[in-house]
Amino acid sequence: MWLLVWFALTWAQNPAADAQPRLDPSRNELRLSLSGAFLDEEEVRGYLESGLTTSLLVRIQFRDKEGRLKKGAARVDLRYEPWDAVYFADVWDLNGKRTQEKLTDRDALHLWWRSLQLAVFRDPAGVACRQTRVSLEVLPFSAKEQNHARQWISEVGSGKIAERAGGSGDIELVNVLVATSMKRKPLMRFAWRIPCEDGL
Amino acid sequence: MLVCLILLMWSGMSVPESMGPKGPFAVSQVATADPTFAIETIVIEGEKQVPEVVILTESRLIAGQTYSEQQLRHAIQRINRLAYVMECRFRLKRGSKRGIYQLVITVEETRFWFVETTSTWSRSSEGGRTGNFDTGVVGARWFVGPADLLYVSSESFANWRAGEFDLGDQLTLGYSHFNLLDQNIFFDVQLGWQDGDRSMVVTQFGPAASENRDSWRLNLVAGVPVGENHWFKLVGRYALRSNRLWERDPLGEERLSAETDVRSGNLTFTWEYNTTDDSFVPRQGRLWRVGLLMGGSESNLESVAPGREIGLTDQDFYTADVRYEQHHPFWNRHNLSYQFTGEARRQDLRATTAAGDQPGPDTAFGRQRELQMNVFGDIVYAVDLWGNRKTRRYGDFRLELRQRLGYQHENNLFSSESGGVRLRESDHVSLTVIELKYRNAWAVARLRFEYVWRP
Repeated sequence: MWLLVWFALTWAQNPAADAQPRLDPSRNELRLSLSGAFLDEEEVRGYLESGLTTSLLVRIQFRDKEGRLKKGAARVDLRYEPWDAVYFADVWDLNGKRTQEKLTDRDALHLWWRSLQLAVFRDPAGVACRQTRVSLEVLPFSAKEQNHARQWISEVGSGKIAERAGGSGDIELVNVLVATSMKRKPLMRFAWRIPCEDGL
Repeated sequence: MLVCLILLMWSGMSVPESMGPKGPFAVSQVATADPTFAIETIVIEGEKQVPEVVILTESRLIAGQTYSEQQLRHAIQRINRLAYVMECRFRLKRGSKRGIYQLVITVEETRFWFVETTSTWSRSSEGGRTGNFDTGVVGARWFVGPADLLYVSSESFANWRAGEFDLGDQLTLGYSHFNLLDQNIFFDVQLGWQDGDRSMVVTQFGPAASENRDSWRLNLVAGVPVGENHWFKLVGRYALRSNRLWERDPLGEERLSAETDVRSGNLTFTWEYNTTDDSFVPRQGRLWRVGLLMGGSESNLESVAPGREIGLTDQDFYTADVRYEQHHPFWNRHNLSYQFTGEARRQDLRATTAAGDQPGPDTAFGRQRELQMNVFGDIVYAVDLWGNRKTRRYGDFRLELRQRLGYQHENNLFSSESGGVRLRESDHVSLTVIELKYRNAWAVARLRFEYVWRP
């Protein structure tokens, strides 16, 4: 009995639920903006300012109107450089390209994060959902996995993956973003359950 | 075999992600995709009893060298695997010159005393192989020098298996040095004494026979780091055991039936590659271990009644084993790992029995050669039921489900003056284990249920 209680307590754990992500429809894409409140959490701040790279893996999961399970993902690698007191950010999302940013201070990081729209899901036939589960995992850096992700993303950009799959490379890209982050134990995890906005 | 071991070591050392420190001291480029960091100084914070030398030795980082992020991550994992550290974190700060860094290592230690309990219920599809095994250990450790550790522990165990009841106590005194010859070589010497009583074939009138044993053992371990995540270990063990067998006569009185003195020793060479993040509840990384064991024992049995009889056995054994583990976190608190174990063993036993103290016309000689091979594959699903994600200050609580499939083969050749007999036996075995594991800063507890399936 106590084991069941334990299970229930641990499964219900959902830290920092004050932040709510927003979904924006655009060109049959789900674009995700996340509140930057978690960046101020003492533990997250400790990892971010360690001078070592920290990855933020954003995952989305929902069922469409026919009840089919859909998944999407994006990843942001952040590194604080103690000498210049700046943050370097690498964004890996469904656009199949890696965008790099240099953020001059913590306020700039917050501002950039709030304005960041991560393309997490795309369906040429249209996107329709009711309720979405969004998770954000704070992961330690892995050079080996980053190289793997970089290689895959360059292949997506050149169309090789799409040719092999006989269609869009989006699914493969989502898989690689998740798979290349999976071998690392998450340092922290946040999760939200949000309703989709009208028009999606 | 030794050549194979060296070749494996060499091939393991060439794994690109585990290369040692790169070249001479150099100023890094701050904005490259795969940054490297020139470490000017290493500062350790949060340590109370564990000396800095121990942390530095295990990290294998040297001030004045340049390291990649991956190398620093592996150093964190090595420190985290130490039994004296609950958690370790790295932080880079500005050094004295631009582009050079100070590495701050923050550690949270475990307590100087520790408790460990393990309870196992074992059941089998063959009813006679059931058993319960319980052990409890209380111990303490003290760092008595810059790299010197002294530890003491007391262990009690109670094992019950199909009509046998085994109770005993064990005392262990040990000393470890972490930086022998200033070469990061680990050295450990351990002295143990055990006293145990075993009651056999317990009936409603009490045990039909009982055995009292005392044993002394001496273990020596030398661990030599041979790469970033590679170790070469040499372990030597020597033990002296004395057994006294008591039998109960029809009147219920116990009398000494036989006495045995056993001397045994073995030497183990092990190569290990380890990138797991934790030794107790691993979630990521892999482990390779290849070992070669050589050993021997001599025993001297003296039967007291009904007629005086002596038996001398002389035994040599060789074991080669390989182990592989791969751990994957696959979702939030859920973890999957695959394990493979293979072992081959050869044992040669020579026995002489004679009535009376000296060999005579009724002296018999016998030989046994045993070849044994075991291969096991395990798949383990684990879920971390509890544990602070931010810090492991409050411990870990894990449920593990293990399914093992294995194959065992045994080939025995018995020979004596009158002829020989060869016996071959092969067996598939399957094992299901459900285990709860708990750890905090001073205690480790395991509760395990296992079921052995044999066709």
